[in-house]
Amino acid sequence: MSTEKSCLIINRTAPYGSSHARDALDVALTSGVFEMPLTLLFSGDGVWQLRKEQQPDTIEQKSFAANLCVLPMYDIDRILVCSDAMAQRGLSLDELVLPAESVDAERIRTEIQQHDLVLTF
Amino acid sequence: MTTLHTINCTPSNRDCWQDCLNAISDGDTLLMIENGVYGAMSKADFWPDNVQIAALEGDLKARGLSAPASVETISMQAFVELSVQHSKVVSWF
Repeated sequence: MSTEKSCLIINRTAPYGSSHARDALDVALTSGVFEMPLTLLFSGDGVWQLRKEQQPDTIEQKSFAANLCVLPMYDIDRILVCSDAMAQRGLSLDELVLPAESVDAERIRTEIQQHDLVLTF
Repeated sequence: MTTLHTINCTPSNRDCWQDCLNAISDGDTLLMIENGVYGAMSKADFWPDNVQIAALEGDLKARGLSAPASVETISMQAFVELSVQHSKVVSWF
């Protein structure tokens, strides 16, 4: 059995309005460098982080979606999205910048139980 | 393998409360802290079954609240004990 601790990062905030989304990404990439087993879950307004066609140069910020696209290069490919949050916001998986797996509340409870560490942003 | 969930926002922040309540499994503990303690005034049937519901005493008192019987009022020391009794802590804010 692996002695590595696994980490689940829950993203619940929309990009640009606060630093939470960027902070979560910093933690994810740092964990990726150290090859920590990592899962990213986007729920609530966090699903907006993954929306395609973000053009934040209009508000003089860098594209958050472009940053998320580097995750696979860090071998972070367990990306989950809350199906309820997606449905409430009228988002579909093909409108996201990364391939993601849609999960329900039951699965989210299981993910929390199965990871050693859970961080929310 | 149980989880201590802490929540620090008022129930008017519905998304946060819904995400939190959806994430709680049997045997977990939900602890209301800071403005989260206003949630302690919810009706008894608001809470999920098989979950320990608690609110931090200092935060309740600071806001002039006293929790009903459905919610356990706990000290800061008990908060620390809960933190070590559970295998992880998840913060909802």
